[in-house]
Amino acid sequence: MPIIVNLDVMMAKRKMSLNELSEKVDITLSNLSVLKTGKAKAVRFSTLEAICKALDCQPGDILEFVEDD
Amino acid sequence: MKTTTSTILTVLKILTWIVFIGLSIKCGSQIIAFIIGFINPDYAQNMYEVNGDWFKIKEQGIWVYICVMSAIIAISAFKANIWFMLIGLLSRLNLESPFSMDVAKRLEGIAYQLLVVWLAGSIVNSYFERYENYDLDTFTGIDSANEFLFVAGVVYVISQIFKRGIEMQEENELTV
Repeated sequence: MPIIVNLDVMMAKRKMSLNELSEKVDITLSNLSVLKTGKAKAVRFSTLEAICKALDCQPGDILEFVEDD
Repeated sequence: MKTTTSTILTVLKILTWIVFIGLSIKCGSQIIAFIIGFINPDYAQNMYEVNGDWFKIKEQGIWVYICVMSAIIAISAFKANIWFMLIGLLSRLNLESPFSMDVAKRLEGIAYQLLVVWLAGSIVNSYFERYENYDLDTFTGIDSANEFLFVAGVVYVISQIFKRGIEMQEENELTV
């Protein structure tokens, strides 16, 4: 998929574990894992808002568009 | 509402089992009558779910008789198989997440099977339309095979809608 999720990069920058983020944004670990591994087909604005708030970043820091070859 | 649906599903499961057993007995009886028909036609004529007219075809030649009887038995077997597939479909139907690839494939299979029944029924019926002294309805158990084509079309459309439902369910499950 041309949309890359850089959640792991941001988490590493903020030195935050998946468990910690899961507690802060109130999303299950499995759902966060789906997002982190790029398996997610859609992201709710409310989820994006909660993640940005918890990681103190912009949506563009988490999502990136890379053209397919 | 949920309880009503579950009850209806349970009743449907029981009904499909009853119909399947009935059709299997009919098919089995026809196979046995076909075999016994070679040895003792008088006895075979009086068997359960057997039409006496079947044995008159022998006058047209033994191979015509074998072909027609094979088609009649095949139609019965396909009908029983359709109900068996329906049992499988109903037992795998989960109301919590009803859209599964397994159910869609089974629905598609039922549609193809119905198409086969329509084809076999049409061939046998068109063969016997030439002979006025035979009653089509009692002969193959199919008065007008076109009904099977209609049901096959409806089931196929439902299976395609089901496939779209699977995509939507998957999308919903993968929305974070």
